[in-house]
Amino acid sequence: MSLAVSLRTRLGAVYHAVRSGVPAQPSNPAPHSGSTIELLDKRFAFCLDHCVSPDAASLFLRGWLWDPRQQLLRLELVLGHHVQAVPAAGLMRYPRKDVAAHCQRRFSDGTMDNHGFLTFLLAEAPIAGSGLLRVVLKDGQRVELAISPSTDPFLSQHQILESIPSEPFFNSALMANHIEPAIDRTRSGLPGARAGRPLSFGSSPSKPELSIIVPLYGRLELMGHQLAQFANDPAICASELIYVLDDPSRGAEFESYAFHLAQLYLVPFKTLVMERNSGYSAANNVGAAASSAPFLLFLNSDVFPVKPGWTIRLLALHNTDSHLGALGCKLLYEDGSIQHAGMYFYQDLHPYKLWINMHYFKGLPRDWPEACVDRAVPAVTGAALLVRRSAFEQVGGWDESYILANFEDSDLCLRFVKHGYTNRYCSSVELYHLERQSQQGAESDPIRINSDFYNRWLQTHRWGGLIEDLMKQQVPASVDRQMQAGSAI
Amino acid sequence: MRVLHVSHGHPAFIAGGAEIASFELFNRMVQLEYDAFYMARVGPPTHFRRPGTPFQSVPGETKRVVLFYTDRFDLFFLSQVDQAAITLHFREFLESLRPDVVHFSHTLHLGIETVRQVRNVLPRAAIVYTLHEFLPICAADGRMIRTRDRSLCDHATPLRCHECFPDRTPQEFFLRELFVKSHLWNVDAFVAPSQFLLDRYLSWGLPQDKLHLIENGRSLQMEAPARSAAPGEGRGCIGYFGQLNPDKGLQVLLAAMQILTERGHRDIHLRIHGANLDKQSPQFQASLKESLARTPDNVTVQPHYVQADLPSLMEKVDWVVVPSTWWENAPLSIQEAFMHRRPVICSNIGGMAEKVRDDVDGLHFRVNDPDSLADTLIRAAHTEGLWERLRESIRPVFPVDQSVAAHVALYRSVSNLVLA
Repeated sequence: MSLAVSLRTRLGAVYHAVRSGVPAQPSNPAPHSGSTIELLDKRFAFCLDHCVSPDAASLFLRGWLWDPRQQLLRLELVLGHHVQAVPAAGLMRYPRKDVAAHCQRRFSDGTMDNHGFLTFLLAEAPIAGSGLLRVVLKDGQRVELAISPSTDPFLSQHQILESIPSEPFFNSALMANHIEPAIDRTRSGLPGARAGRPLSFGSSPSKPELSIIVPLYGRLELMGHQLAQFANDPAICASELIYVLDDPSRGAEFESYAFHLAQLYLVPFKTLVMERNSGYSAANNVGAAASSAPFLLFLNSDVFPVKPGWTIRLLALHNTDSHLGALGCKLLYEDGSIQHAGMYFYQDLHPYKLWINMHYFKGLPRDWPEACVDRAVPAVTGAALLVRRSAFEQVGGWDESYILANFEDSDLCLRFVKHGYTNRYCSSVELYHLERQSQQGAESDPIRINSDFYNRWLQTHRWGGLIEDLMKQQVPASVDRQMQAGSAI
Repeated sequence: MRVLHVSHGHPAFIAGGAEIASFELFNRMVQLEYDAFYMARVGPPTHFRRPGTPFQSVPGETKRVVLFYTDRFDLFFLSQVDQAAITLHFREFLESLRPDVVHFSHTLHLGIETVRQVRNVLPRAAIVYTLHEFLPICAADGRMIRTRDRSLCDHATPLRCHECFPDRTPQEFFLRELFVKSHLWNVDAFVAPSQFLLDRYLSWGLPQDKLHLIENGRSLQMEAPARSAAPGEGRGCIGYFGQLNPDKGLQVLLAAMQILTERGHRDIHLRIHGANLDKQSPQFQASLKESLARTPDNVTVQPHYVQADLPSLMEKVDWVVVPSTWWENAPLSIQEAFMHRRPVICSNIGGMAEKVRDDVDGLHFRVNDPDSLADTLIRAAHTEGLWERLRESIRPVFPVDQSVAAHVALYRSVSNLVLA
């Protein structure tokens, strides 16, 4: 998969429900694709697949070893005049099926496992340009490989994600000690997420009570469909509406389309164009920073009202409770069945027990008895999420460390819980949500699969304890009871 | 009260029923000294684009008629692709003309956004919208016929529409409905020329209090005399008038005529007066021409005709047949038959079954069923006294003057509402 494709799917517009699954073994890099050393007389081989520098002060290495006699003593990183030793024990070793097959074929050896290695390390000297990686064996032999670590943050992220071992070779220490810090460092290499100069269309209300923030990526025409609906709702025309385009390459097209739509639908709104593709969270944060109202409604571009006046009712409900964190509402598919009635967490049954996000009553009829009850829920979807600005700022806004738009909403909701707020679901406000299917092909993209997996692991790593507590408090669904009482269906 | 009629075509360039009805209404309003204007969409191949403006005029026509050229239309969302046409040119036109009433007879090729633009520019204008086929509901040319087997469809859902167009997702159909409705929301009154059509739009979700039934008015022609039949000859001369398109039931009609030949009924004769075949797809043109070439000698295909020829053509037939395989709304051909007091033999569905009363002023046969049509034609030709009885029961056609009066009353009542 090309990098361009991976970046295009970075904020695939709207993030979708989490699938269970495991990281894909990247199909591409053959085991001998990197820089390879073969010492056949010593029954030793070493290969470096990826060498990236997430930032100027750290290094991430991934490769494999054929070393049945355990002759590797250490690696030495030669950066300028500085030599940094990496003991063999500092390499995270794990099995790689592709390498095992290669060793069987090339060295007629099927005895070894744990061929793969990866490691994240802090560099003792600044990394600039190229250097050497020295492989030191116990008998004193040294072999050198020239390295020139990749410093492009996107490429680095891509290669680190690609390095996540596939099930059943995954382990949490590897994620926590190597993958996550490396991914985290790539972010510091990125310039801060910023938008260009905002444009205002129509006369925006002077002291709006509500700011609506809609991140856009991909299908721009959904903005037109949304404005066609908003034009019939005076409450939305009285709110501050902000569209944030997270794709600078389409900035001019976007602004000229906005100009046309403003003239046609007479809904006042502002536009922002991110200076680089920065992701869903960053676009939301930039939109929030540019807004002014005491309440913020984060809305996806594929969400459409069932009838006018819904923002008034959501605001009124939020106003009744100062301990309210995120307020969500009932989201419907185009056939009227439920897409979202609040979110909960489900612990995956595979050995790593990762928590995944689920939507209550998804797919059931819109008047499903339990979906018609307002209640506290563990989380709500970011497709339509209302917060008080002060609380939003207190918990730190949207977290930008998830990759490819996933889990940011549950993460935000969990931070509300941590700060003592409650998240709620409002059943009487209904919106349509055309949960987007614009990313055909992305489902089988190994980077997409690995980034989903990474996000899932990250959420569990950060919030596992709190999620467990929250889920213990959840009253089991009482739909059965209600149905037996003859109240519905 | 200044009224702007907006039509998707001008009958001088495309002679469809809706275009004719709206132009006749406008024309009669002008004759009755109402302050009426007419804006009709034109496009290729009859017209070409001028730089800098969509507006054009008809040579020799009054200042009251303008043409609006468009050639970029999104047929799925019924949306105008040329943004300046709506937000610049149409706006300036409205600002200049400042009508009190804007009556859309259609927005096809103009863009459903024109409705929104009228509301933007003229917040106090009354907006009236005449419904014809089911284009806002159905993407299959507004016919409400399933694309896979041409069977009749009685309601649209995103999933059913996706079945008809597998390349379009249910979500797209859902968006289409939301989008179209968000614009129609600005309309003050909808006019349906048939109860059948009105009911369809009511169940689709248009508000009942905005839906009004007003028949298409017609400029009446002098009634053509009855065909003089020899004693004992029967009433076996059948006429088909109107467009030749895939849903008009020509194949059913030709199959029925074949059955009549096989059964030896050589005294029943069909004359086909078709129009606009050249506007159909090449495949349909080829297949119809082939069918027509194979017709038995009880069928004759007549050359192209114009409205003025109608009385002399009617003189040669006893019955008019309307065998459409889609619902129809208020077919022109039924009005024309009744204007000349010819009983109508039609499919037993939709607008046809509403406008023609079975065994009162016409006969129904089972839609899409050549055997049923053949039986009905035999009954029509050979039942002593039937033709005369049905002919006597034909009601006068709704004259255009009454249509003007009904529309003006509607404009006034809606304007009062808007002003209130």
